[in-house]
Amino acid sequence: MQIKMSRHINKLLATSLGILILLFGTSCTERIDIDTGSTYTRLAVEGYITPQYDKQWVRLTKSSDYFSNVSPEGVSGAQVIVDDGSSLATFIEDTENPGMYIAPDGYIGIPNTEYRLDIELTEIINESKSYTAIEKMPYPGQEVDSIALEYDDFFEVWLVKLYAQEPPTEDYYMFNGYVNGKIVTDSVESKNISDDKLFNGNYTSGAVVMVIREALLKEGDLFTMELSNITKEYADYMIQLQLEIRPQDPLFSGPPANVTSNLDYGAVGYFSCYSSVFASTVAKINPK
Amino acid sequence: MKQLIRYSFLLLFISVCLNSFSEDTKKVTLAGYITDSENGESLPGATIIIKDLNIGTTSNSYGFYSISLGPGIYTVIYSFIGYADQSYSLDLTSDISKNVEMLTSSQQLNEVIVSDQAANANIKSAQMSVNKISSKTIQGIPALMGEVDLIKALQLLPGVKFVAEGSSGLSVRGGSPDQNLILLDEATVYNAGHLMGFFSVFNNDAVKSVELFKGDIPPNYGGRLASLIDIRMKDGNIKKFHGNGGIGLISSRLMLEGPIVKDKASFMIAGRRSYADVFLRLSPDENIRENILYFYDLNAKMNYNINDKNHLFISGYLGNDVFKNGNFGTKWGNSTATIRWNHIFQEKLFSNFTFIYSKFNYDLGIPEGNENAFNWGSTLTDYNAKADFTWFLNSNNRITFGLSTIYHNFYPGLIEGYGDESFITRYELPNNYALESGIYLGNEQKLGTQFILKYGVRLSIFNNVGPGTIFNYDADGNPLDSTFYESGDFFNTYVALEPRLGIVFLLNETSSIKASYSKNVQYIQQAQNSTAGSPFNIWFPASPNVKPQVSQQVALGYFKNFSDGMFETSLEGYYKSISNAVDFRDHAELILNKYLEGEVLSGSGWSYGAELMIKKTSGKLSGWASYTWSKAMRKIQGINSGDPYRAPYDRPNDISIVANYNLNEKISFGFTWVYATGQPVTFPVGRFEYNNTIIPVYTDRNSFRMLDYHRLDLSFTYRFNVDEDRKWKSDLNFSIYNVYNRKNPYLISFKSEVDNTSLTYAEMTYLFGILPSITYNFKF
Repeated sequence: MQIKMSRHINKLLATSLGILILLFGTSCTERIDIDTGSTYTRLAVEGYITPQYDKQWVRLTKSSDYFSNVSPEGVSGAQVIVDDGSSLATFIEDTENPGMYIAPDGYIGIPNTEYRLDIELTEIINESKSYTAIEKMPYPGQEVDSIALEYDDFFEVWLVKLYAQEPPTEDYYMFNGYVNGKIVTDSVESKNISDDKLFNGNYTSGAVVMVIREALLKEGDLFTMELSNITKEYADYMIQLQLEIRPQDPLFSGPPANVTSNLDYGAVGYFSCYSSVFASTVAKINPK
Repeated sequence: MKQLIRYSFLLLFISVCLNSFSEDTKKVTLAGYITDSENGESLPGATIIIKDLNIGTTSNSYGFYSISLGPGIYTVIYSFIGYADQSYSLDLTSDISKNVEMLTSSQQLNEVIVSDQAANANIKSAQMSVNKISSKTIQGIPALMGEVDLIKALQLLPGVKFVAEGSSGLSVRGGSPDQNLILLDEATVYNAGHLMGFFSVFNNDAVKSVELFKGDIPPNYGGRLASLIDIRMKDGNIKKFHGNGGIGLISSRLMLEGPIVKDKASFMIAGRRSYADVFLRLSPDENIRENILYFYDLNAKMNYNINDKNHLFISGYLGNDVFKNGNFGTKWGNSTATIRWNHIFQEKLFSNFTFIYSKFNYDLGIPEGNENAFNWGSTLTDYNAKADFTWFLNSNNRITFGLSTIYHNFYPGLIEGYGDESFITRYELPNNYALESGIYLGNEQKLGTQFILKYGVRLSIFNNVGPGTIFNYDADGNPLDSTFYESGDFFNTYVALEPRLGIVFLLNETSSIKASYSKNVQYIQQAQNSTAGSPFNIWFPASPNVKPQVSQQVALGYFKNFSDGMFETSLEGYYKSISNAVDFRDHAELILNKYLEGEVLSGSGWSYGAELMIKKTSGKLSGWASYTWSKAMRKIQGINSGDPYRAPYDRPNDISIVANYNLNEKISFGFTWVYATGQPVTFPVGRFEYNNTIIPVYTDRNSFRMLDYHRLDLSFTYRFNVDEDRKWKSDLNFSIYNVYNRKNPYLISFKSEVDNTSLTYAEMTYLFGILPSITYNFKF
């Protein structure tokens, strides 16, 4: 379990280490050649079920060796079926994008529903042709009152401040951001994942929930925040991913380890189901 | 097995008592203190020989000796390495108290005349797996940024490894850094590093000596598996006022000592403060300028000889590290206080009654006046009371016994926001308390002229004490429910019997074979899963969920001295097995986690190795060379699929060469070369893509290694005013760390190219290239 504040602390600690190293003035980085060998192929799954029309898909790719340096190979011809407990939906492979399986037209996810993903491959990957994952979409999130943007001179970032009533239940959240309709958090490290331990049941009164780099957002742009209600398992998954890709250091980082998955037979990745609420505001630099 | 041990002790003990009581002749006791004539500091380990009877003894850690003989006239010889022998003809008709002040032979750098006895004391010592370093030796070792460092000197001994470049963490015989009991005048020091561990908290000017026991720990100590690091502060010059100090690149220091009442009471006070932040203020960048970064430490001691039979010692330590700027601040530090009353009963029973207070705490947060202002603090406080006795029964038996109890108060963390507007709810990890006690009994017995037997047992008792909440966890470490225990409720008890056995077989005057077996139990450990560790890793106790860690070690060694003790050589092998070895789950959350115990996994560990050491103790050139070959493994369900994996400290080859060359009175050189196999590390072998990001895939834990580490340090010291009678003497010390600029990797990271995320590469960070420094030292 990860607390937002402790990750905030970790970032600050890492900054202090950076200053110490700066102090000694002699630390350096340089590239080196390492061959870490190879390992068996795993099936990598990235799938989403949400109540938004444009976002239902499952992408199947193969894992590769770390220094293989090629785009991942899509897994074609598989049968991808999503079962919502009352009906089955077959996801169709996009002919121009092998490995990408899109939901049938009009298909949307419904909160509080348990979804089961069944994959049947044409060839064996890692001793199995069938893979399954189960995820229950949490109940819908409460509407937020508003968000505000504040520009921070010191770090040169926009702080996204949230005004909302946090429900007293045990909740996990993912924050995404859009500038003029285009997503700016389309990578693992840019998303903010949080539990509600420090806020539970309180009004958030302008708590900073996201930080957007100055390069991505200019005064006058329309900024939209997407606040998604995610499962604890997906929150753990995303946080583990972030731990694995962020810079490691001998003082604070634990040993690297594989990220857990909600798929079976050693597949990697995650099949996630969540719903979101949105809030927007126009970016303005307030005079001090 | 336990029964067998218990009965054999009883039998041996009874035979010893019978043996002494059955003798007809009345015995007299010759006892006293052995001290340095110049400053009055006690000399532990000095040898006292009754020439005519060829029996002897050694002084204990306080410089006290006691030997019982039949009445008569004897020639008694007192000796200690580095001092001239003293011989007395004594007529013993009744108990005699004789204090001896030894004169140093420091003027004669070339030839130090020592008797066989003093020179070969290490051969006869019942203790094996031990290394002792004087603060003078530590002073001569070239230091990082000129900061003379006791812990870094210990890292140069066989069987001891550093855990990361520049770190104050030590791994002794494969153990983790929290398995070392670090004592400063008997007070536990929980965090031994300043500035994230780059410099140790021990000011060498205040230190008299340090002794490292590797696993074969005497029964009067317990609570850690890997080692005992026993650091003794100077008592204070009881003859005259004196001081020394220095100005260096990182910090400056001053030590003052002297008599309060000549030959009766003395004091010592030493302080050190860094000023690296002065350089930060010169930065053109405003943001860097407002950073405040410093550490300081203060050691103080008072020593009062009430009379020949009573001594009082009071010592304390206070140290802190502070880092802050307008947006963020952190502070951490230790403070300790020790009061000890030493009493001698009838010249034969040496006793110490000690009370110790020790505290480690840290604070971290965003200061008030800022948005998101909060503070996170954590404290560990110990109160320790102990009584230790040494009974010099006769020349063949030295019995030790005593008891100790420590009350631990763990305050793992409180985080709260400042101000009414703060949305941060108070998140507190409540206090928990424990009592760690021990009772011990041991004897060092000489059997004839060839055998020395050392046997003892420590009974340790651990209690968790209420108020406290214990959670129950499922197999994945998720909390299910909890039980609350009321204040004062001793709700969980662990008891262990820890035998400590040893035997010395003296082949002849200059060589011996030693063997030992010891069992140690550890009841508190640190929540650390990073290589170097940080001061923010809290200590947590055993509990119904976390069993005490237990280690059993067997060691066998061959010891031989050459050239009248000028060369000491040893070859020691050990095997250590640990049960309930603690490690943490993958991606464990160790910071501010109420459910920390759910992250703990335990299993077994084992390590073994051989340590070869050659030491030159005197002459213009002195120092040592050591080679250690070792292995350290763990096997824990939930880690590495339950298969054995290398412990983080498994570095098979380890070489240290440390030398000091005194060219003449004015000039000396220091030389250190170290080599260690690269530490085990986990590298990504595969990868997959998720949300446009490359995610690494790992195979076995610690199956790769970092590059091998090696480094050469040199130093040069020039002394001023050596011949003159002037009181103020000084020297200039130049040192160079990492002379041939070896790029020893501190960290290897794996990244994707910014412009094409499919392309990955490995990047190495190294911390220190070649680093010269200069220090000005003075004494008066």
